[in-house]
Amino acid sequence: MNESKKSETVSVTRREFCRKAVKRTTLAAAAAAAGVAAYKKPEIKSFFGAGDAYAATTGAGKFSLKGDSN
Amino acid sequence: MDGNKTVTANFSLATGKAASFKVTVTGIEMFNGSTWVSLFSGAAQLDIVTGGIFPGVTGLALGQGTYTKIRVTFKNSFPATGTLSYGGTAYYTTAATFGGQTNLASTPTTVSGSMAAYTFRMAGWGALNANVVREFDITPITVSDKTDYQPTLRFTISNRFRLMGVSGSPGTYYFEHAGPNVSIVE
Repeated sequence: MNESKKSETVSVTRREFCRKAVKRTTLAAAAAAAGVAAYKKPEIKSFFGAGDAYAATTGAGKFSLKGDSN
Repeated sequence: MDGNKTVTANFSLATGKAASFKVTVTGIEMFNGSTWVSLFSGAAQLDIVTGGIFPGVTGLALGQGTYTKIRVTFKNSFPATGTLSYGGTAYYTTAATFGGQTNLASTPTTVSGSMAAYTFRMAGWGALNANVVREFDITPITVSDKTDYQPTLRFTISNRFRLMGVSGSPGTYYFEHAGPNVSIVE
């Protein structure tokens, strides 16, 4: 009698474990999918508050060439 | 005693400024005190009569340092259109070469609708499409991330566009373009 109860307890525990494992897996997959969808490329901010992070990190300015005539 | 001799000479019948004059820049470098830094290499064409920024030569990265010179390379090839009047008649450029002077003389037309660009080269600047290099001193500029340096490449072309020929003989008329002065305006 005791043997039977013990076996049943073990069986229930194992079933519960499997059920929770499946749930964890499902939740993890959903979280991963949501994470990918919500991922946003981090914006690089200038240490000096400049809008152009590249310029700020390299110390570079900008150059343009105009042309005209007289 | 020698008899009379006829000397035929072409004179400037009219001078002015081309209606359009396209310049192709192929290289830009700046000198930082020890080396020339290349900022642009390619082909950027602009009608300098209209003026503006050379296409593609805008917002280029200019590394930190102090620059004292700029070197600009452009092609000896200048597609231009224009019109000048002489004796009450307006003459317009065409794409046709006059008198075998390839890229030096444009055959004129009196039909305004037939005006077309003629590709001039400047005789003193070498062959057609030769690279012409001009170096200019600039006010020293120390570059920071806030620097937005926009110099102007200026071609002085007023009164360089000419209608030449023998007065009264329209068949001798042609357009030529004298070499412009080139400068940098900051």
